[in-house]
Amino acid sequence: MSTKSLIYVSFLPEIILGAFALLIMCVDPFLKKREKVFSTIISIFAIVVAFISNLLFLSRDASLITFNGMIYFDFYSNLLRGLFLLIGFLVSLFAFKYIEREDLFPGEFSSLLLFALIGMDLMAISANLIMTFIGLEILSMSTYILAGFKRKNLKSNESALKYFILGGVSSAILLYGISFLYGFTGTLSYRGIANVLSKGSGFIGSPLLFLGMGMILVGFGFKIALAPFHVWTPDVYEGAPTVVSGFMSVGPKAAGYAALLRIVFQIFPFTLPLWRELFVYSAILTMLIGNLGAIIQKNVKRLLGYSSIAHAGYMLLGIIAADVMGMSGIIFYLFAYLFMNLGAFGVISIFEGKGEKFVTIDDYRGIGFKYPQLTFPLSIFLLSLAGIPLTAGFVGKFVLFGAALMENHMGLVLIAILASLISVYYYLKVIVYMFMKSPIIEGEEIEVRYSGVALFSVLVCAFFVLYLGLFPSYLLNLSKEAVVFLGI
Amino acid sequence: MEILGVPILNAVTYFPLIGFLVILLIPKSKETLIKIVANVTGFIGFLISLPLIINWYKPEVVNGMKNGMRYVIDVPWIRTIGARYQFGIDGISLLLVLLTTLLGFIAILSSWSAIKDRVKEYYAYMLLLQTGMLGVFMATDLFLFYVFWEVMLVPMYFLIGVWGGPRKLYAAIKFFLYTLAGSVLMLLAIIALYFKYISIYGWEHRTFSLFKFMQVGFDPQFQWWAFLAFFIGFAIKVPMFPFHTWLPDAHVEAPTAGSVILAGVLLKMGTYGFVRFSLPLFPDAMIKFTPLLMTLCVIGIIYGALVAMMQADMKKLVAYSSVSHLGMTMLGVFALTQVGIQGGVIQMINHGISTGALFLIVGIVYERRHTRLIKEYGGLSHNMPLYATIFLIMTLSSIGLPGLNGFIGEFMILQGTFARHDLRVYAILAASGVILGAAYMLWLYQRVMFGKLEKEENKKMKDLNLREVFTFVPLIILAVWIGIYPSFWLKYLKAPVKKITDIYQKKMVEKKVELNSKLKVDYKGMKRIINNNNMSEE
Repeated sequence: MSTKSLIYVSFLPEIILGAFALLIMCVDPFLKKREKVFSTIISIFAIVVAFISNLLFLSRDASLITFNGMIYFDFYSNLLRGLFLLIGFLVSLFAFKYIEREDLFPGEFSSLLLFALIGMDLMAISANLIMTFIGLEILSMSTYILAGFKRKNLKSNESALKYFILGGVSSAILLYGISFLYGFTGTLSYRGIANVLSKGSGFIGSPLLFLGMGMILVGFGFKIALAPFHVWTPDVYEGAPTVVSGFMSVGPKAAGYAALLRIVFQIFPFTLPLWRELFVYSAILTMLIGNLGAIIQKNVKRLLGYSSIAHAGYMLLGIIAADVMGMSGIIFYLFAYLFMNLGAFGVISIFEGKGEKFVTIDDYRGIGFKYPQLTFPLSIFLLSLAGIPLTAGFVGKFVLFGAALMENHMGLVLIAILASLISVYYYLKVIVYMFMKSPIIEGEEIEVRYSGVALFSVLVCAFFVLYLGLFPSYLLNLSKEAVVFLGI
Repeated sequence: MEILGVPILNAVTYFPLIGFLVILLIPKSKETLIKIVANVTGFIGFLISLPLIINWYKPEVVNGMKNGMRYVIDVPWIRTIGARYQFGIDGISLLLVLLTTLLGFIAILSSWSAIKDRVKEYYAYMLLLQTGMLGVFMATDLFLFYVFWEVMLVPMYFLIGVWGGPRKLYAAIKFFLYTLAGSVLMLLAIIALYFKYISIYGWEHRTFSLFKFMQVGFDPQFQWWAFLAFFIGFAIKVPMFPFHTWLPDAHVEAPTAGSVILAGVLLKMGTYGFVRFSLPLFPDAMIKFTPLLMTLCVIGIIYGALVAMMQADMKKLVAYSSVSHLGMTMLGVFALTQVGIQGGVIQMINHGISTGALFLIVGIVYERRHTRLIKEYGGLSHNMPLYATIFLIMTLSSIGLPGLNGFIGEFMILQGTFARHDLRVYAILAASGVILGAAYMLWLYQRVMFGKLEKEENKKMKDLNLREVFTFVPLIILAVWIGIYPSFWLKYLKAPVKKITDIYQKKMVEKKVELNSKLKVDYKGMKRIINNNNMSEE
């Protein structure tokens, strides 16, 4: 393959996504109201095509830098891109009927989702800090709009505004941090910075360098919702349309982790003890705040919001371990988390009914045996989030905690275990309300309507949660293969 | 050994799952059909576990033994972390597997008229639970063991939480969180063992296999920590004295069949865990902690019995009697002598039989009268003679009357403990538990069965029907069988227990000085007694 074609090959899925996103924007205005579904179908088609092109051009052996030194073409990029496209695919399936029910605009939704996916991809494959920043901004801009997608809903507006203001500030901090690094090293490419840092030992002790690094970590901490930068999460998840909350809880988080892994291991390997300590404190705070906060929640969306904070904390353990097992644990966990959390949000988006009326735990009373096709998958998702064996969540936690334990972080692992024990309580609470409590007025459970597409995607998620719990080997090996390219 | 091409242990474990899937396919409204399918599954499940014992001494089975385990299945499962799908049973697991399949069937049979709503889901969970429990007794890979150990929590949680009594939610969540907290600590210890093994043999030899771990001989310091973590996990499950508070709640709120399974099988998972994992893996820590463990057992025996005596609720009484009986079981196991451990294991089976039966007995009057308060009853023997007979047999079995199973277990445990001179005082204290046991059980029997039949509602109560009698028949047969001819069962225990005690004899010889000065073991005398017992077993 010539270098020129390699450039396009390495970037092909993003080109496809972008082209289809623009196509949707052009076509959508000319569709009648009844035909609006068409744009959702185009977006699903685009995601599938991008996924196939990603599969066709794998780079399993070598790590190439293409596009004028802007992006990596390696298996890590391939795997993470596959993860993002899966997220996009499932979100579109869940959105299929949701958008119609809530009377939203399918065209705008689909194209924004595709743009968000491009942003996520760029964050994972970027080899240059500016590229990373651009990816982050594309993702953020799309999600700001998606969060406020219900224009006439006060909460949705609040959600979007909060996300926008805090997101803007954090982007600024990140950019400022990047400029510090640029000032020191005169380059923005990951390898370039690492080279300069490894040679010029004079820089290493400089407080300004640490400040720059710290700012970059803060910027990503916000995206991933690490404590103490997590405060926006529950409010934003509560207000945003449920499908979008689901997307936000897995998408930006996965992208943030994908970029963070590259940055900490390719730019900052020399300052490992320093950022490791920062991450240890952040992980402890994140896990405890997330889980303790979730206990008192009555709104299921807020509950999952807090729980998603906690899960970001568990994944930090992989970075803290800083070895192949920990890294591959993070990637595996991202997959596991994608299925279980997106599945849970998907079921919630079905239960809440038109206008998102039924979102408190109390509304779930007594529906357990009435709609087993939805409540049993939801139970599986919740048990998996809690880390009960035979589910993907258990294997993920096992690998992450195991990796941290191997690197002698006994205290941290004990706290993580304590935190996940706390989490069992509130996940079980949802199950208790569904199966073991009867409605306040006897016989008045909520009515649930669902489409075949939504049920299908719920079942797909449940299947993969169980499958990855039973046979995790294949994905674990892939993750291992991928993280080798991080050069740990 | 295979059944229709499926390795027999897989067949026994996963057969209930087939019934589970069939039940899922049957529409909700066909309740009778669901009940029939569940009962048939339970019965066949029991039948296909019988070849395990029938073929036990067949040459092909004996030749296929690996690490003292028969019917071994060993295939890679999660290669990345080195977890294997490793099944195998020795004599100890054999008895517990048979107990599980039998009690599982009886529990399903006993629910025929007790469960009236959500029939389909109820039987589905029962069968799921069955698979989970069987897996626990067969797994010899610690990762696999942990998976089964945790997974069976979920159906049990639903059984208590959905079909339980008035305080079911509290009981179910308490049960779940308590057990989970303990087992997560155990998981931590399993991971620690795993890394310890890797640090010695290298990453390529990563494994969770029990037998690989047994070869290592971990250093005492490490053993203590790992032992403590395992101890908390198992002790909560047993439950041993300070960790027992979840048990009465869970028992009282659970439906009858749930209690039977809970007492008969679930608690055995804890005691089994000690015998299978803690004893062979952590001998140094075991010897070190023996006085503490013994003290906890004795407190459990006496405290459980005293509290049981004061209960007004029949089910709570039986639940507390479990605390006492299991204290006795653990006493035998922790004595670390051949007779003691054998007695402990046989007492696990006895407890499953007699306490399982007692919960059924309580369930039968509860189904008729919807109360479990002792004062509501009295004089039932007048209109329920059959019931009175069975109740009496099980009461006597529970208190250890010679000729019935309880006697054998308790006698062996006390003998095995007494054989170690340093533990005599515990044996003497524990023996008082036997007396207290007789007191509360006989008093219960007297208050429920004898006296005048005064209450109007009680006069209308019908005696047992055929199905109910049938649930008790196998249990009575076993109680008498073990009571009269125990060596039939004990012979399966000899070899595996010997394997454990060999480790300890070596350790005690090695530590002769230390033991003599610190613990004052008359180890010569002990050896003599052990040898004598071995000979008498032949």
